[in-house]
Order: sequence, then structure tokens, then C-alpha cells
Amino acid sequence: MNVLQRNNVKLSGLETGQPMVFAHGFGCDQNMWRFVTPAFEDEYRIVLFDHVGAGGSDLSAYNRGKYDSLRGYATDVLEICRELELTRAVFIGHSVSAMIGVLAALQEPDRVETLILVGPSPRYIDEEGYLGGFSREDIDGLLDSLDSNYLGWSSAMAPVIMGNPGRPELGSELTNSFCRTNPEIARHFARVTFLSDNRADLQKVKARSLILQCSEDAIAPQSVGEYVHRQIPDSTLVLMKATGHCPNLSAPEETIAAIKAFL
Amino acid sequence: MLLEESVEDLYENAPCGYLSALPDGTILKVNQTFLAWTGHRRDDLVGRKRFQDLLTAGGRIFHETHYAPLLRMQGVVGEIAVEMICADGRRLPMLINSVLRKDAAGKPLLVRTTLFNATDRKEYERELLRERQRAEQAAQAKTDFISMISHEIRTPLNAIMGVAHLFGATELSPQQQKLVRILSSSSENLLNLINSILDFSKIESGKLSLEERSFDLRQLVHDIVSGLHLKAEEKSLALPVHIDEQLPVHLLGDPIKIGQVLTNLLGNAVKFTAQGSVTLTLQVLELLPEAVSIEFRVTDTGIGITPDRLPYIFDDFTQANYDIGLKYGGTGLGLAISKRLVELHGSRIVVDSELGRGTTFSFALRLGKAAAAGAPAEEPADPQTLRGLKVLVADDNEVNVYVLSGLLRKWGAVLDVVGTGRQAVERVQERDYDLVLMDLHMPELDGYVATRQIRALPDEKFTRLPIFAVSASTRMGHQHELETAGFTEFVGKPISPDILFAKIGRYVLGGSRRSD
Repeated sequence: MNVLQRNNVKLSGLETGQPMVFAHGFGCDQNMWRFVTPAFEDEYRIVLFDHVGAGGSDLSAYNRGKYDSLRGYATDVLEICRELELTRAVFIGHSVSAMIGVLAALQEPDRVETLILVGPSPRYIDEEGYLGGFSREDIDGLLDSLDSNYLGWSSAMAPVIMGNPGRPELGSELTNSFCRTNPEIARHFARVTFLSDNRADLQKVKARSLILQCSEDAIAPQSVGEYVHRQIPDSTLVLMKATGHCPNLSAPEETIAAIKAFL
Repeated sequence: MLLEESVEDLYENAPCGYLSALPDGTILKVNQTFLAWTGHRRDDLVGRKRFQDLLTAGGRIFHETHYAPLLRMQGVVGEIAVEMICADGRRLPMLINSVLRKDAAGKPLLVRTTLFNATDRKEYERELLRERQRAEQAAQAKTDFISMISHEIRTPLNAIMGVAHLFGATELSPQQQKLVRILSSSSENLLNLINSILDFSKIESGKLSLEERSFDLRQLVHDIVSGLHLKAEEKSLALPVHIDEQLPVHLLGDPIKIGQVLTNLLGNAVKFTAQGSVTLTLQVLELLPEAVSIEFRVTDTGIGITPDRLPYIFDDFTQANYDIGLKYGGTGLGLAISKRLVELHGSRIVVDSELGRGTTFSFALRLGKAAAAGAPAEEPADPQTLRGLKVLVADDNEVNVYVLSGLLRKWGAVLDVVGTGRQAVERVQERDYDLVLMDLHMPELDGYVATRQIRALPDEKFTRLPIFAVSASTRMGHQHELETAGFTEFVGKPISPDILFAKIGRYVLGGSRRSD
């Protein structure tokens, strides 16, 4: 079976360059890297993909058992690497994909040589002695949010054809198609993501790692970024001026500069 | 003038909330309607709060993971549902629409958001969700019912099959032998059907997951192919097996599920091939230090499948055509189950077929390599070697005991029977046994607890005593529980004499039995 179709893998950049694998976070698809990848195309082999359930991935490949932990997603990343015969890759993971990258790097260190972790969090829920930023109830609230926004008549998350009444020459285009997600899968992915605990994995990471931490990140607060930095032995922490959780979208230049400086 | 509309008034008192913010969410301007709905004061918000600060924690995650990226990428977001936290802590459901305003260079300047009160709509949504949950629960209840009934059918079926087997071993006229054969094959078909339904309902309800344990793939293939030899011989079909020499002996994986897929594909191939051969090939595609990729290929010279039916053969309850069911039997569930079991491994079954020439099913699996563990499997022993074997049967079901004792006595074993787990624990301390067959569900102590207690007995011999779990309820799953309880092996009900015999050969005669 074709792993590349399953994960809607898109290749660009320099074919002979070092591979750079970009992994999107929860709620989005590979489109979220669109402002970042062009800066690396001259030097690197760019590998973009969608997690199963998101974007243009093969929804029929979704299996609750397999994707009941982040390990299932890490397996997919390694399968993509194998299929493309990638070694010594730079893995750039946003949000939950940062931890997916950590798991992949632990499993096959030869494949993943460098980790760029954008807004990582190994544990979202507060515990004694650890501040993740959220409580169990908050996560239930998120599931409610997902339900409201994916419900039949609320089309917020469904792709819709939008005309351009003022500028008919542009024709109609598909909007809301950047973050297509299957509602059921999104719900499960949310649960798996926000209830995961990968703190114990961090210390085992051998890969050279860069942690990109935004200011005022509502999903992964600064204390969590610092925690990740303390735990991963060979890691560098960069505090960005960008605010929010998606510097790859809100501050692509700063993101690119930080990655380039590290590499 | 009285008739002149004030733009300011239109903004402030519109029937919707207006809120303008910087790209980072800092609130710049907000209208009176929004303030009236939420109870917030203008001075507390403008320049002091970010829009996302007014949301619930769950809503904030949704804002950061869905709303914000979408707004950045497409410049506009419509109809997002959020809950605002009002000044008094009340939660107000709202629908928001946002536009990202950019400067000439395309740099985001501000976010303009329109908000609608969605209190009523939220009520309808809740109603709809409740109804959906109700419908899903009803469907689940039906699945559970089917599963439960199937389990219940297996117990009497066990008795029928066991009795037919024992009956067949007695002196019978040719006419009677024929009748017994029909009884055996019909009950076997019924069992296959029930097992398929059970597996299918497990897959449907998402209860299925892969187990990982060390196993010998060659042995597994050997067992499966041996089981099909009789059927192949009846039709004079050749059943060659080609196994790549590079295949490691000990692999990590789920032998039950891999076995099920192979059994299904090989069984189908034998069923649909009138003459020629059914070939099983295991080829190593990639040999890595930790893992191995193996291609499994089942090729037959059978009736083949027409191209127009090929896309549908993996669908549930589907056979290549209606006549197939009439002529060959079957439920149309086998391939659907196999497909999902292979998908569970992250792979896919590929089929290639030519009508009248034959069909090839293949799939590739990546399995971990296991360290060599335990004694190598023994060849099944011949019936004489069980003579004198001392067996304790712990089972409270009279029919099961009857079937088991019939089999074991036929093989020359000597046996004692107890009806509870407690008695089993006592009896093994009173007498020496070579093997214990332990039912999982018994009064007083169940099989798990009894086995755990036997393993914990002070004498070291109890850690080595072979104990087989016997149950109808564990075709899939529970592997972990069985292992932690200390069972040596598992024997499914209805009991297949060949499998039980092979397992006794492997675990009891293999190494632990004395040569006296």
C-alpha cells in the first residue's frame, strides 16, 4: 500500500539536499507551513504531509486502535521516511507534532537527526509539581467546542465554495479548505493529544533539538518550553517575539531566521 | 436633525456585537451591544484584554488551533462557535465572523470581528447531539447483543463438535460415518460464521487492537497450512509453501491476527480452486537490524474474479457475485475482516485476478525481531506418547469435561477432574501432574486467580507446570491478562483436537517431561 498517498505527502526543494520533514499540529494540515517552506527550498529536500484524518490524507486509513496514542502517528512519520529512504532528516513539528517527532527520533535515531520543536508540550494537563496550563475540564470544553463547530449546519470547518461578487474574474474558490479535518477523527485526535504525557520520553532524546517558544502562547506556556529545554539534553531554547501558538503563520520571518541560525 | 442616522449609533447599537483587535488579539474597539450582552465594561477591555482572554479554556484551544491559523491563511473566518465568559462568570454562546485587515504590503493590521448571540441555537445543537448519542448507543446495544448471543452459541456448539469427534472415533457403519462427517463439517461451518460475526462486531466497535509478542512465523504458517491439507487433498490441489530463508525465526507481532488473515486467504483460495495449486509465499522485502518487512502472497489457479467486481470484494457482506454464496457458501465477512486486520498493521491487501486463471492476494507487514525465547517448538507427537500423561482438568461445565476427557483418554492420558479453581489449587499440591487444563470461568476461584495461586506456591516445580487456559471468550484480546496470570498456553473453545494435541506436544512433551 502506498504510504505517500495515505499521508498526502508532497515533495519539493532540492532533491539531493538534506531532508526536512514538516509536520502540522492539531487542527490544521500541511498548509500551515506555506509561509515557511519556500525559505528552505534551495538547500533542503522539503517533505510535507498530512496526518491521517487531516487535509488530503486517506481517511479510510484511520484506525482508532492505531491512533489511540501519539505512537501511531510517529509510526506513520517513520514509514514516510522509510518509503522515501530518508536518513539524517531535520524534523520540524508544530504543537503536538513536536512530541510525535520526539517519539519518531527515539525509535529510529538514524532517520531523525535534528528536531525543531515549535510550541512543544509533553503534557497539557496540570499535575502536582508540573504546570501544563490546562485541567481535565478544559479539555472537555475543547471537545464541546469541536462538537459545536463541526456540527451539520455550522459550516465553519467544512470547505465551502465562495464566489468573489466584487471581482468575478477571480472565479469562485474553495475556502476553509486549509484545515480540513474529519470531525470524528478530530475529536479523537484532540483527546489523544491533550491527554498525552510524554514527559518521560524527553530525557532519552539524543537528537540535537531546537525549541521555539512564543510569547503568550495559550497552548504551550513559556514554563512548559523551559521544562522541555531542561529535559532534552542537547537542546537550545529560543524565546520568540511572536505571540500566540502559530509563529509559522503569524511570524514566518522570525521562525525561519531562528531555524536557519540553529541549523 | 431627527431623521439623520448617526453612524456611531448604528455601530454601537447594532443587533450584533462588534469587536476590533490587533493581530495578537489585543482589543482596540468594542460596541455597546457586546458590552450589554457580556456585562463587561469598556475600560476593562480596550487595551487591556485580548479577545481570546474572554473565551473558556477549551474555546481558547480551539481559537489557537483552528480559528487563528485559518484566519491567517485565508484572511476571513465565518461562523465559528465560541463561548464568551461574561463579567459575572456566565457563559454566553456566540457565533463569530472575522476579517483580517492588511496594509498595502500584506502585513496584518487588525482583526474585525462580528459576534452573534447563539444562545437559542446552542440549545438546538445540544438537542441534536443528545439525539445522536442516543442513536449511537442504540446501535452499540445491538452490536453488544449480537456479540453476546454469538458467545452463547459457542458453548453448545463446542459440545456438538466434541461429541461428533468422539462419535467418529467409534466403530461406525459407512452410512453412519457419512452422517458424522456431515455433522462435523456443518458445525464447523457454523463455528466459522459465529467467529466471523464476533470478530466483525469487535472491529466495528473499535475494540480491536494489536498485541505484540514473540512468535515463530514459520511454525504459525506450518500450523495453518497443515490445517488446510485435508481440504486441499480432497480436491487434489497442490499446496506448496515458499518461505524466504532470510526470515528470522523469532518475530514480534500478533500471531492470532496474522494467522486469521492467512487462514482466510488460504481457505478462500482452496475453496475457489477446482484444480491446480494454491501457493503461499513469504518473501523478505527488507531486513533491518530491528525489524523485517515481509510480503505474504497467496496465489491460486482458481476461478478468478471479474474486473467489475474486484473493487467490491473487500466490502462487508459482499461476495464477488450472488451465485458464489449459493455455490460455495460463506458470509462475505472473511475478506472484510482480513482487510481491516491488515489495515490495523498499517498495511493494505492488494488483489490481482484474472477470470478463469486465478487470483493473487498479497500484503506486506513490518514486524519487529524478537530475541530467541523459550525452547524451540517440537513436532507434534504421535498419540502413543501421551500414554500415562497425568492431566488435571478444572472445569465446572459437564459437557466440556465430557468432551475433554473423551479426547484425553483416547490419547492414553490419565486424568482427574475438579469443578472449581480452589479444588485445582489443592489438587496440584496433593498429586503430581504433567499438565493442567484450566477453564477461565469457574465458581469460587476463577481460572486466572487459581493459576496465579498455583504459580505462587513455594515448590519450584509449580513455576514450570504447564497450565493451559481453556475458554470460549478469548479469540482475540485478553492476551495480556493470560500472560500475567501465568498461563502457558491458551486453547479456544470449541476445542480443536489437532490444536490441543499439537500444543500438548509442544509444551508438555517438548522438554519438561521426564523420560521414565
